Amino acid sequence: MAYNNDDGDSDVLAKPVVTKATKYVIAKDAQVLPPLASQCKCELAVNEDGLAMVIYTKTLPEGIHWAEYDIDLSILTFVTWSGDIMELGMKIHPPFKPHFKKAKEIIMVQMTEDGTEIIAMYPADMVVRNIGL
Amino acid sequence: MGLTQEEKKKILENEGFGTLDMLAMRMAISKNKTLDALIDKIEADPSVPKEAQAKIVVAFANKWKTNPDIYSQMEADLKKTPELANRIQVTANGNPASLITAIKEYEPGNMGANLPVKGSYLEAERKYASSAPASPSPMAVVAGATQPSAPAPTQTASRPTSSANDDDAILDAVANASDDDIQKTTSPEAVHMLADRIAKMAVTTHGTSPATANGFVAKIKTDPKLSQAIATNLQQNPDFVRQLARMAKDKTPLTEPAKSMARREMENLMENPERLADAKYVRELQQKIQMAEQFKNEGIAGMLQSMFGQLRGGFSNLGLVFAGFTGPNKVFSMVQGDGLFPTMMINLDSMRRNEAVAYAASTVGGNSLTTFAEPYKTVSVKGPDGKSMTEKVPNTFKMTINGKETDVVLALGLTANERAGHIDPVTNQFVPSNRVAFWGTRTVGGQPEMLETTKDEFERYRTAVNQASAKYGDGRQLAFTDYTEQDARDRFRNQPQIQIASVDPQTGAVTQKQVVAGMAVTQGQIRPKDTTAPGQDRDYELQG
Repeated sequence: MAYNNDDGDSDVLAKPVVTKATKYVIAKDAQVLPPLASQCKCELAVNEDGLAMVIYTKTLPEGIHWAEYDIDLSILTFVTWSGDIMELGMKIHPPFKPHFKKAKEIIMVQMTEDGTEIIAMYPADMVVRNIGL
Repeated sequence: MGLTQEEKKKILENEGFGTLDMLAMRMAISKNKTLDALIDKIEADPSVPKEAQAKIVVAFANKWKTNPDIYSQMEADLKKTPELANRIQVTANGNPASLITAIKEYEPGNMGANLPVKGSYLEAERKYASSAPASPSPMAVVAGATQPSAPAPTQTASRPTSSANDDDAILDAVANASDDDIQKTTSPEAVHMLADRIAKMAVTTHGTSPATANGFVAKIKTDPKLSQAIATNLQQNPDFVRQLARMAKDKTPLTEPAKSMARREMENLMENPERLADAKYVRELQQKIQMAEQFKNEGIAGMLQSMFGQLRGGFSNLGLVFAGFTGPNKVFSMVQGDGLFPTMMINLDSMRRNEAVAYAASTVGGNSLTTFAEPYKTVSVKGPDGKSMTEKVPNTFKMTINGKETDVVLALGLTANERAGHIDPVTNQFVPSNRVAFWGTRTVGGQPEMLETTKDEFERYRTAVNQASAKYGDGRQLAFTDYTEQDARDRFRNQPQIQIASVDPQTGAVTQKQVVAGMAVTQGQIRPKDTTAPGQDRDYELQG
């Protein structure tokens, strides 16, 4: 019996591991959520070593699995754990580019609406896409 | 009467079986329902002598040691030839030595060949039905620490395979196993069992896909070298093994961000089982689990507090990330409206300072700050009947604290006059301040706190304290050290400084500024927060 969510049995049927190559793929029919900047106050901070952080002030319906920085389109997109997508809602201007493209993960930080206290923070994976259009 | 759990555990331990071995055996047996029920029946039979039961337990265990799949093969034989179960049971009763030999010499398909043909199905059933219930299956010893040795409620039904209680008992046993036990018994077979538990937890608790979880287990079980490498690594990290068991047992629903963090980590591990053989990875994961546990117990504040503790030691990746946003490196920041980033960084800095304050406060009580013989004084007041009477009141001193008239206990407190000046980050000049901060308490026996006042008010307080100490106490004077320019420069150097390059979200234009904890930008000038807003505690405010 294979693992499933409603059966406590722990027998194993060997099936191939999901390959890494398919991990960061946005589904074609992914639900599009309103941009983060349209929902709440938010800020992107990236240091010269590629350390990246997004600070926002609203509880998101779901945790962020990974974020994609598309250099060609100058946009940052977040992908939730169930595959919904949400843009940052601000253009990623050229000054960010040389540093942000080095990012391997991005720290998601939620603060209170008045911006005085941290409510939650966790790292999400970063994917950088650059076709060179 | 069958063997007690403790007796069975002892017997197996004497045979060299450790807790994890027993756990793995237990799991292996419980997956084979027919065999499990048969063992229950044998153990429920009071006419099988204890010595014989002990030998049967050992025979089953030793057989498993030579072949971890042996129970599945026995199960297949029992299902193929149903009357075998009755013959085995009868043999255990009438001729246990034959059964022990049959177990020792068992090969798939030959179980019946090694059993004497004695007794009958009906005899066995009648005998069994009339027998009193005894203790649970021998392999239940694996849960010896948590399961009572009460009689099994019924012998006619086998335990459900891998029930929730079984799981909890197993996880309890692992969570409480000693270092020595884990080091001695973490075999490749035990690793297989742990892999099962981890995979199950990943699917049921963290939403990992069943395919990924199955792949994780299969990769470990089909690669003996990997199993051995993981076993060796886990032997060196018993804390991690116990932590995994605790985590798997904890049914408290996770909340964000722990939920996402855990899911992410679990996904990562499921796809890369070889990481369990990597000592560095295991240590890092252990830290993350610790953080998650702390988050669940103490909330975000506790987690951050811990993080900064680690940050100072240089062990926390997450902490180092935050540290990476300070210093000479520029941070490009883009925000709609007021900046959140400087606030957050200063918040973290405040938390770090609060930690020091909290520590100091926990080590000294209000009374210990008071050196006077009489912390109280007697005053004359009018009673309810209008007559004069005396009353004992705290020996306090009225002074202006944070802009308000306040009663303060006259005490030889710790002085911390650090607010008496700052370094201007623009001109690099020392700017003296009129403000002084000192440790004191507002009530006798109250918690000490950092009180802020003007230099003049502080001088009044100091004079009063010194006079009171000379009159009532041991004559010690209030310790006070001037806050020098060097002190200010040292503090300035140690404050987090963030070089922010603000990017306009509309135009992309960059404006550069420096943010320092303890400073505020007012009308283009960077100055200490408290000089612009007396009475406020700048440690807790936005400083950007």
